[in-house]
Amino acid sequence: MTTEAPLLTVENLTVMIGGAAVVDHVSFAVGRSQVVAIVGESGCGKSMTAFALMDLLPTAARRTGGAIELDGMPLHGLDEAGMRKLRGKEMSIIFQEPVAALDPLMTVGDQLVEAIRAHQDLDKAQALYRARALLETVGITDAGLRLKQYPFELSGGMCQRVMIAGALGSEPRLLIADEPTTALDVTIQAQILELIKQRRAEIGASVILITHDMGVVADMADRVLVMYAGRIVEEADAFDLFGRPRHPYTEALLRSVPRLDDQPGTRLPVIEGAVPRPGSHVGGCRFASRCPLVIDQCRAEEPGLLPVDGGRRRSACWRHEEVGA
Amino acid sequence: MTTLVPEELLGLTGLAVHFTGRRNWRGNRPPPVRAVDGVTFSVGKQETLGLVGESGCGKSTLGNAVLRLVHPTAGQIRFDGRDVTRLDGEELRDLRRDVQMIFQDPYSALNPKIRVGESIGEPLLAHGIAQGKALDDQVSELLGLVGLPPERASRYPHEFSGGQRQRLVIARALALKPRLIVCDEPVSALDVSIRSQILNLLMEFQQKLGLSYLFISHDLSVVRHISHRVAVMYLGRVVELAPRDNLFQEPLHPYTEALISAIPLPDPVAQRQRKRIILKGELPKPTAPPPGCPFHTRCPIAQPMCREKVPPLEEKRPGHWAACHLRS
Repeated sequence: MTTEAPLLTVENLTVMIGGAAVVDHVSFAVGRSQVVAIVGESGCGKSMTAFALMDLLPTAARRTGGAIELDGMPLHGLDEAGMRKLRGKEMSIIFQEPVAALDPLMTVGDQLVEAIRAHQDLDKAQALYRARALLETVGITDAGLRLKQYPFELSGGMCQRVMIAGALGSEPRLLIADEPTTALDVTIQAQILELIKQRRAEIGASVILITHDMGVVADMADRVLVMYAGRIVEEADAFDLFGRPRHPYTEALLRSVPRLDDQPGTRLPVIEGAVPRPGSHVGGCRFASRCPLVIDQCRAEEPGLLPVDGGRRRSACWRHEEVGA
Repeated sequence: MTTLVPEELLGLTGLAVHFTGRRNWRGNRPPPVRAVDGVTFSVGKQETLGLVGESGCGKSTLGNAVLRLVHPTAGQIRFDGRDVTRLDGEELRDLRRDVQMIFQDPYSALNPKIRVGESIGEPLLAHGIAQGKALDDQVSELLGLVGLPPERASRYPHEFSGGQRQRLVIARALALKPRLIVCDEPVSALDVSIRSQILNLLMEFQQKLGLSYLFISHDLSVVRHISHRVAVMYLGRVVELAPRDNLFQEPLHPYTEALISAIPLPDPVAQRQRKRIILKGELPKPTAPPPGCPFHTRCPIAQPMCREKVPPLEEKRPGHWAACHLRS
């Protein structure tokens, strides 16, 4: 990872909704074959970051700045036709609601055929044959039957497998998974995470995994970005992050969740207050109003995301030395 | 059950809720959905019983049956020693003073068009407990109890965040001083930083007010944190029931084992070394449950007998019940 150029680099990405920056000067890189998790609570900008990378932002949102490069090729200047050539081929996305993400009026087979033929010069029969093979790679039995069915006839877990089959069919270099298991039951979540791991390894794709579940992060990620109120507040290797957080928000996130190995019945640590609304930021650190380590400097001056621990990781906290000590 | 169980407040015996569909054009009825199919357990005084299971297992229907929001098809519900299975009218209304509810989605649980103070005060008004100044005072007190400033009673729900709305819903549930609260996924819709606030509040009220909870959730980590005993449901049946530590440390049912092992631990070192059981296949449809043990189609240790005979829920160890032919 250190010698090879990263697959994706994002510099100062900014997304505005109305007058509010929901993603505010976000910079990061994704290495080749690396799994990068973006974690945070609702409204922190993690999904908007993903949509901006795919140029699939909702109409109210606009990318107002930043540079995105996939393997050295700038994406931020591409028009819709240029993005179309990449989407589903070089980079794919899977969504949180697998049933809603598929077209309810098309059979699974027709949707996969359409996706395959968008990028490959195959006739319908060949594409259908390919679709069937793809369904088998994601562990769907009775692939022939499933191709003829509509999304409502399949369970959520099955629809997510179809999504993954379609997204990974062209062996993209980057897969963006936006809360891929949040809508699924835990036993199905375990199946889908295993499937993503296995298929990712087979085709060597990099993954951006967006989630709010620290357990999923611990299971999957090489590197972790923690977002709060539109900014990355911490970035680290997964083992380093869980071993010792370097931002008070990360620490609070890790501690406030009940876990299978904690002491039951005890009072859980609490993050007081609520996430500030987008656009309400007036200066200083965005976490200052909820932070147990807050000092005057935090209210006056926003800390930058700077290297700590000898450059292994980054933290946006004036008092990062004292966090998790 | 033995001494491990505190004095019963809520008791269910063989409770079943079946939903029958409409006749089709030929006049045939589809097979009934056996949402809850013969459930027996109790919730003790000041106890939290966690009820876990995946979507469609019948846990919410069971909660609704306890609240008498759906009619039980068979079986008995007892509250404080009294059979309440078929109460109606005035008597059912009285039962509702003792048994209240908290639902998952605090956004749809409050009427957006009325001020939150009115929402919280409505049970007091409906039961003729307070009105006028006394009502206002009690609403203020309830708001204070859940950590919200009393002057916000005149605001509307949209002026509150998700966590604050769940506090309002809790205040409303506490208004009648109930003895049992059915909590159906009370923190699932909330962000993680808000979840712990609500869980702490629920635990605090149990201590302070001597409440019992039937705590329904799909999240095992949350259930483990708050419950004294835990029941695991699968396709309408309880497959395991045990004190919390026994259930999590020595699960007897293979489904419970798989559920626990499927939850990723927020610790990459431990998580990546863990031996995990990944279940094959999906939940069978409750309209066509498999014969024999409902879990046998996905069970990693199933034997031929599991396909034929339904395993009864048996007390395998003191206070630890499981429905499995193969585990003892």
